[in-house]
Amino acid sequence: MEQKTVIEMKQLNCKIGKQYLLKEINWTIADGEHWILFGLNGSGKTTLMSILAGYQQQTSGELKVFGEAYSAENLIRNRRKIGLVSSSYFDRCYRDESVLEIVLSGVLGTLGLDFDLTDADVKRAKQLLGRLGLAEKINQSYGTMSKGERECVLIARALLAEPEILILDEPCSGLDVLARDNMLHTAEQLAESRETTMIYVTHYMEEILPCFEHAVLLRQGRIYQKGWSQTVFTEAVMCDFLQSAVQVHRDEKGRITLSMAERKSFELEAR
Amino acid sequence: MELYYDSEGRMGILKQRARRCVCKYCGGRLSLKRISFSEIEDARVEIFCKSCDRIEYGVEPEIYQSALYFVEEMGFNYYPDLNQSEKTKRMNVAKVCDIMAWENKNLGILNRDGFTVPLAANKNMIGECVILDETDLEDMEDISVGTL
Repeated sequence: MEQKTVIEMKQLNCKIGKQYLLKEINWTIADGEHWILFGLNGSGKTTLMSILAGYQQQTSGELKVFGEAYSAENLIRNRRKIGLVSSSYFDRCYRDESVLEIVLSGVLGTLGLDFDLTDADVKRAKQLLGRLGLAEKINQSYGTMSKGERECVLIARALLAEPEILILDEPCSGLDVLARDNMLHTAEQLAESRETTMIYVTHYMEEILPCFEHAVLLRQGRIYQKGWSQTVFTEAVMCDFLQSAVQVHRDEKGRITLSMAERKSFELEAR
Repeated sequence: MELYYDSEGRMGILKQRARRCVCKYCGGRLSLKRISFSEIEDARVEIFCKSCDRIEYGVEPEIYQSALYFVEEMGFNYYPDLNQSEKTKRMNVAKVCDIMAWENKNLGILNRDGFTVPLAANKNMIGECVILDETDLEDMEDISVGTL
């Protein structure tokens, strides 16, 4: 049976002034697929994800989510179906807002609250925060939380609306080794236990879990390669993509690691 | 999932609320602020408290005054483990506002447009009042277009 397309981008561009942040992005994602979006710093990953989730707009090109382009009529409705977990994005929007209010805003697809939030929404938000270890922090302000806690708040915000698409934008960035392991475990569980379409954004090969069977490589705002993870994350492709000699290793569980074949060193002149 | 509101009417609702309600933390005026970069107004604007520098949905001013009185005069403290400061006091007022708004909503005397019944509030409790003139109301109509 043919899978339904949930995201379709054609010749999508985003630019500020004369500079392209994203250029000629063509990408189709089917329902239930799990994708890795891999790229180095500044390659446009967060911009692409915030456009996809309806929090930013492309300059030109076509984006269809659930078969329709974003419009004034459907934007907030469709945003509810997409759980965006991106501290790179939400750190710009939230600071003194309380944890509970931020999580509840996920039900609405907005950044603030609405009158018609139900008691069931509040109870479920508290349950989710409890499961993520934040039961005692629901009244705390976002800006006073650690990086890992903020990621968990955003995961709770995303899951509260029971999204059809879940985007995890560098969820392990800035986490310590234990928090990172927990986060990867959570991502793996989400990928295996739900029929949700997932996109996991990262710039670390070690975070590429076997359950993410598709991959896109993004370089300087352009898609360099996309396809099955096994064919994308090969030594030949990665050497060319990173423009550096690297070795790609896979362990018995399918986890990928990358090591530099030759390390560039910078000598500091003694003063 | 239930749809909470028609996005086409969202701006009108937010404008009315920003004009009528106050910040549940500081009791200050609310305004509309462009938060995200979307070209669609409904999706990028939120109610904002400039004084607290936060996205804030707000409460009816009568609820805020009651909550403030309850915290100041009755000594209510939801956060006994925190240092007692102006910030903690504001958090307490906001907590009481949440409880009162929840109760009033469930009693059916508060809806999206405000109270559905005439209020005869205790004047001692209301204390200081803020008088808004036409110019103030016009100022509150303005949408701040600054982004974060």
